[in-house]
Amino acid sequence: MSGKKAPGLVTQEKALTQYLDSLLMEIPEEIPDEVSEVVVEVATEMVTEVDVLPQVTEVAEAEVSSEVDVQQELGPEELVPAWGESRFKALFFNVGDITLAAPLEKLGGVLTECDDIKVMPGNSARYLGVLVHRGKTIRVIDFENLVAELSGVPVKSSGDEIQQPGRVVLIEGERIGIACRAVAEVEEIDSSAVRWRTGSTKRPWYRGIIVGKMCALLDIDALLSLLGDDSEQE
Amino acid sequence: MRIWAVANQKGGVGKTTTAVTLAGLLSQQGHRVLLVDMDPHGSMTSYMGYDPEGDGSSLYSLFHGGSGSASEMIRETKFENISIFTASTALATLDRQLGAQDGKGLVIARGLEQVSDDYDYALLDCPPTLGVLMVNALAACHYLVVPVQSEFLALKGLERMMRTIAMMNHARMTPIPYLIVPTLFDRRTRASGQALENMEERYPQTLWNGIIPVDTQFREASRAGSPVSLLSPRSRGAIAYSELLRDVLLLDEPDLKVEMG
Repeated sequence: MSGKKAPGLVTQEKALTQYLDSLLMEIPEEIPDEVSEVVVEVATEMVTEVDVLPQVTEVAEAEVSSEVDVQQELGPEELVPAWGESRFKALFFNVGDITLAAPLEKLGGVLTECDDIKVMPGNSARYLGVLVHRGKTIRVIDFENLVAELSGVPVKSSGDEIQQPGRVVLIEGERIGIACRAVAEVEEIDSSAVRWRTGSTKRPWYRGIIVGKMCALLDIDALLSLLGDDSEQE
Repeated sequence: MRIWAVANQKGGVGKTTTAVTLAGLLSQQGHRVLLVDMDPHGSMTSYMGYDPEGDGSSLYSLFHGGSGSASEMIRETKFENISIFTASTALATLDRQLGAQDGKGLVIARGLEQVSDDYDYALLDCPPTLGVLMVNALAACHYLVVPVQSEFLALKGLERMMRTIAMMNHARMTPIPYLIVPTLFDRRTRASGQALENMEERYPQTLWNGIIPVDTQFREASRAGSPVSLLSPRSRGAIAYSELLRDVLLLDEPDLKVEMG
């Protein structure tokens, strides 16, 4: 035996780590089609049950007006993310009475029939609870509570009983989902149809307003980073 | 549906017997059980009366990605409430065919998800080697049972299994809860007693506090193609497994706090 390393071979541990990481890599399915199927089904219900879709809650409206006011007064440059530079697909979904939109490329799918979300004792009210999906634990955000908490408004406590939201929008590559009442539709949006956020904001999750729908567009990366900071503090 | 894997990187430690017997006991409690034979040797498949060399649909079809849903690939057994995803020898070619292709460790998890409403429990009988099939089982399972023959050499296999679990925990970012189960315990031999003491010393937190004894009824049950709990419910082996089942049912609580700290 020469004792020389065979060329191209990595250490045992690295070999196993690479092997397992590759096998366990989540390969996103064709999200647009997959989500669209769910969405078409749900959208049909939505059209009949929600006459005034899309709606915007007081919180969202307040944000629209304050952001627009600032923009009109100062006329600062809009901050357009890479995914929003041209046309992009967005998923519209309802959280309570709010209609939100999120760029489809940042989402990992929609879980339907979510009636098994469990309470996480001791966790922030911004989380509705957790659910186990494909053997993995997904933290489910209560978006209304998150917005209220960031705005300094007292949040409602779900106590030991969770009102099951019905659907959860998963964030791509993360173990985080957003609880929602219904998923409305996927639409292709032109960048010019969005009033993009300008400058920094107290609400980093908010990327802009889809003008024609007066609907808040989420910044998923900022939302994740916000939750990341939060978990570090915990 | 709760998914339990039965695995050890050593052959002949009682994996198939453990999976089949637990399945029998669960079915006797009225649960709908799916057995999944992930070992290309097809011991469980043969046990349940199918031929792993046969032409029928098998787990291989799930990896092959042909037409048909997972539920269409599952076969009935002669036992009420027990169905099986059979193995075929072709499974042995998966590592060569797939190598370390991205995402191929999640095929079983996704397949089982398709039938999760049809069964209460899925029991995965793993091959004794670390490869695509073992990784799939460990990625899919909620709980892991590690049978260990009560003898010195089997402890070496257990060490390998512990290393594999540690690496899987890292890769899937969620710890796999598991229980080490001493099997083939022969109270007449010193080796069994020593092996058990060794396990108690090294794995005090994760070692089951019972033992599965050697019992000729296991062989009889295998010959008859029946879980021992159905063939000889009062045998020592059946009683020991019913105690194991009681404990696993208690331990397999979805541990929601694991990730949350």
